[in-house]
Amino acid sequence: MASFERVRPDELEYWNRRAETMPRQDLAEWQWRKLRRALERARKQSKFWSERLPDDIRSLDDYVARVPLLRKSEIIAAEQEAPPYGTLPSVDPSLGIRYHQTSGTSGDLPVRTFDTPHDWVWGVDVWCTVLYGMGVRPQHKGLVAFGYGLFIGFWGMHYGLERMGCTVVPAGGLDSRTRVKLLVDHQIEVLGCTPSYAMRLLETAKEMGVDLAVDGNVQIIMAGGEPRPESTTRAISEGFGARVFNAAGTTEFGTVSMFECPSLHGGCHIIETAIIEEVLHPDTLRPVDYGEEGIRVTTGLGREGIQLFRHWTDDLVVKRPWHECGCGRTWDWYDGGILGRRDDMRKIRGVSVTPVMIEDVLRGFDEVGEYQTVLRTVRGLDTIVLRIEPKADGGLDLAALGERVSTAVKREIGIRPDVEYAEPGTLPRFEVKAARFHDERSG
Amino acid sequence: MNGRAELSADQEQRLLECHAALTRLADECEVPAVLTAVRMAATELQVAVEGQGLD
Repeated sequence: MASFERVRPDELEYWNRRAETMPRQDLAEWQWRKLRRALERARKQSKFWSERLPDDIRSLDDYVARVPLLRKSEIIAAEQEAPPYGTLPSVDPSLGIRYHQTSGTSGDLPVRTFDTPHDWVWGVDVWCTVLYGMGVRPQHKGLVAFGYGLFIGFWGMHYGLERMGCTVVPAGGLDSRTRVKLLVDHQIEVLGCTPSYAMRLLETAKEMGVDLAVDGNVQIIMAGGEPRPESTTRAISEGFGARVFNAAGTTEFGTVSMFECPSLHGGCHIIETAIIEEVLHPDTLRPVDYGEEGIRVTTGLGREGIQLFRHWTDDLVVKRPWHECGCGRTWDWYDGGILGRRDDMRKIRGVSVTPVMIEDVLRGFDEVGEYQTVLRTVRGLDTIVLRIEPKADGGLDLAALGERVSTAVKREIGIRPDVEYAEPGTLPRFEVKAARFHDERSG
Repeated sequence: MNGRAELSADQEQRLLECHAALTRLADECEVPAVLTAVRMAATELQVAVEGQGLD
């Protein structure tokens, strides 16, 4: 559950005050005005959308009632008609200035996308909304620790920092030791990476004899791209001595779409001037109320090249009303950000288990470094096997540690796992899209 | 830079005029260096205009 921190009125600052604090009625009118134009454009200029969108949508309610949900498989199928972009684009793809694609970690073909100059400037401006909202200011120094490849990841953060007047250290292609050294040498104030990779940097720093909370100067960590439990956020915050913020976006939307503000711990405001977010029941497909878990369905309001209408993300969220947060933004928010993905949820002996639930338990053990979760069928019974990598401190009673881990998982989740051990440093580490959860069950 | 500020009516008007002037220049100009700069500047201002909810 999110918690709130009172922020003094003189500390309430915004990248774009008008957009971030407009009354809800004005926001609804803003969204409808932008949506109507986006629909007109898509119907005229995209073959895919001209065949899918009704031509006389009269309101936001009418839009939600009549436009079908867009599944990832449909995007991929449309792209496969004439790769790379198929029938989706609303402009000539030769006008694109950037190419990105999804990571393909789910085993599907990647979704491919491009940005026009307008799309990129718009997407970066949305990133500035996020960064400024987190407290980043011109003249801060930022380090972006990701691979700078095809995955859109933190590209927008890099350009957003530049656009705001920060000095950016592009730390792609560097090993973790070099990144730790850069953090300390440059006294970097802002760090962008996944939560998994922030943990990896802390581990590396410890190996180097560096205490980042003392020797470094990181104050703001934009840790996005993965769901994470509060225990992981706390471990990162303590390790760096910094405030850890959450944010999320998708390649399909083209930029970041939600972020944690300073007064909202463990929640993310939806950037509602850029995106319309519905939350639907996964089975009935009916809207759920505030406070109920559902799947987020997104409509992009800013991109002109590849447009997005009612995209079924498979992300599990719980929406809360804007006025519960005291930051002054009139944007609703998601409690816990993205809680997980529906396709990551597994039934084990009748219990729904997600990767975040396992991570939340294991982060409570200082002795555990990395881990992997494997679901196996053992003598006909669904079984959770945890492979844990003890931290290389030596002298650990592994049997006792395993028993305590097993008991904690049983207490929190209801299933007693088998625990195996891996040598320190042998389990995989991740920079983006951590893959610690594997279902190897038969059938 | 002031994160509590909003545009005045006069500033809104000047923002729209600047955007219109850049768009016109981008339509007429053929010098690659200038055309590219003007197009990018117009794109930046378009996002600023949209971000203020202006038409």
